[in-house]
Amino acid sequence: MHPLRSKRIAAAGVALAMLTSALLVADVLLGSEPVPLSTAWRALLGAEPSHLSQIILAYRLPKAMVALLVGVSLSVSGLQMQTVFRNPLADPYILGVSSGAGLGVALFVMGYSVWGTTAVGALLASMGYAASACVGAALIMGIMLTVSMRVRDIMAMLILGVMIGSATSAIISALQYFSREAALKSYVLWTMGGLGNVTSTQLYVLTAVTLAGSVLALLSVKTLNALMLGESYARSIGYNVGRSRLAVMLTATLLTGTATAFCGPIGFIGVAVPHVARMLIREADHRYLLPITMLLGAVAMLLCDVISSLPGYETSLPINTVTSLLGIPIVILVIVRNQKIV
Amino acid sequence: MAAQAKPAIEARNLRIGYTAKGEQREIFPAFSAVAGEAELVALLGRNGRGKSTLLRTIIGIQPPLDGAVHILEKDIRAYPLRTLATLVSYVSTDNVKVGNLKVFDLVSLGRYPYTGWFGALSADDKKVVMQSLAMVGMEAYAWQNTGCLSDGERQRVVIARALAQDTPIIVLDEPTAFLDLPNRYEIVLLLKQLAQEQRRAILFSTHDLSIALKIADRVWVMCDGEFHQGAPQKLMHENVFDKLLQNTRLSVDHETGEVRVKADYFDHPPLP
Repeated sequence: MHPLRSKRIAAAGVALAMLTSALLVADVLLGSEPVPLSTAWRALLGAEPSHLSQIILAYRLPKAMVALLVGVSLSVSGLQMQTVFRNPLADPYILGVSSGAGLGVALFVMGYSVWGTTAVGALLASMGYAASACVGAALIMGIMLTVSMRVRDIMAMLILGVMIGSATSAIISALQYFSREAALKSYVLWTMGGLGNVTSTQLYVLTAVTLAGSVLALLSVKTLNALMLGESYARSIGYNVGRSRLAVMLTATLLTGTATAFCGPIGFIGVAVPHVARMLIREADHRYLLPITMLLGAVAMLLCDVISSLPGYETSLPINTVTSLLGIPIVILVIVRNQKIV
Repeated sequence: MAAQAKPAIEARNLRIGYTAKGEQREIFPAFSAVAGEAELVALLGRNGRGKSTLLRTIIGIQPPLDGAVHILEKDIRAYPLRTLATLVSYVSTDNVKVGNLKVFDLVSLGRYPYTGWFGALSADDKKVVMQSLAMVGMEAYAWQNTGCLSDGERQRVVIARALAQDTPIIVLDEPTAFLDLPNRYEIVLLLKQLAQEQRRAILFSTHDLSIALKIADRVWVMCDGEFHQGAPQKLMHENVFDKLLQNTRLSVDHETGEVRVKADYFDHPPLP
């Protein structure tokens, strides 16, 4: 082991953990009506009598938690997809997996309105959202995995992802044309994305899935390293490549599907965060890269949420606007440098 | 030496190719060949004659159309993947440029068949990694990025990765491609030394006819549907290399093994 390496990475990890905590607090305090730290603390203890208590407990704290969880989910699946597809620009959004999740949600929402809302409880409905998004995401992931076994070209894969995304949108548009007004409205709201519309039941589901997915991802670091050099090397060190790729992509699907189910498709976090993690620690080994990517994902999404709530203003920006404006420069930087990252 | 060596790799009536949509597409007809313990074996053949397919079949990535590959006198299909990974290591022609990947980490991938779920290296594993780097003369580069290496250095590092896997058999696909002349000799001499000193069976494909003839213990030649194998001198005597250079403007010197341009080369047509 290189003497300074683990210290350096541990230092980065600690710094990022502290940054995550600081941003979590900032995200709760800042917003259209900034709240002093002391008030927030009293609200947490249940000792704040004013309306601010309600804002913090029912809205801002859950929203900050959602930002953290979604940031981790999207970044981890972005890293997994970059390694499995050996494509530095792969992520759930670019390769159409988020669109697949959207298709799942569209079918569920429109079907759900047909069954009626009384038939299923809130928890079942939340899980239905997540499950249908995961099925939709899995469908596209399956297509991309199959294609990637024949098509090695990085650009061809990216274009295919864009095509699949467009095709999915077209199918959804057709569905909307035939769906009832109420279902249409709830679907359109979903596509706009947002961290603040997540109910407490949905937050439980999101927390559980993100935790489970993160544990599965941490268990797969050795597999990710083995896949890093390509198929024949992975095979020659004893890996069944097909099975390994499938296992990793199942985790990525679960994470992307659930995050997308509750917050809508969120772009550029998945592709950008792993690259920032690489720039930060200058390591390719997933034993270091994955935990750092997780922390950085939380930091990035919390930061986007702080920016989007525009402290002092009445309105807030759509979260996708902020993630795009922050993420796209990093993607462009990666393209310009044209380095083979994965 | 070739005669008494124990067989490490055997191709038994092996027919290689692909199966697509239920139809077999043969790349090379059935043949048998052997590579012994402590032998350096060079696989020669023109482009597109199936060298890479043969190597992929020998390491078990690709199933044979017919016949079998035996590794240490047992059918390769009888080994679980993890066991096979401790017997055969492979160096492909794939690009291994991974940004930020340290030389040490690349070589330590060779220890993966021996490490736990997290891939954590024991003190012994780390020692093997550094020893492997030392064997190829790259220990000073352990903490460099693989992206900053020259082609020759990178080739040494991927060979070190195979050495770290600590297998009795190493298979390399064109390890001398992209290298300058001294580096081509250096790499093949290194392979020869590893075969001799550590008694590994090393099979490598190459286009460097004269290097192979000078250094390899045994040569496998894939030539127009015919397979030839044996010591370089024996095959030279049988005019195998003349066949390999048939219809070209080159010939091989039977004394030195050097490739020569034919004196009357303008009178011969160029390659189609």
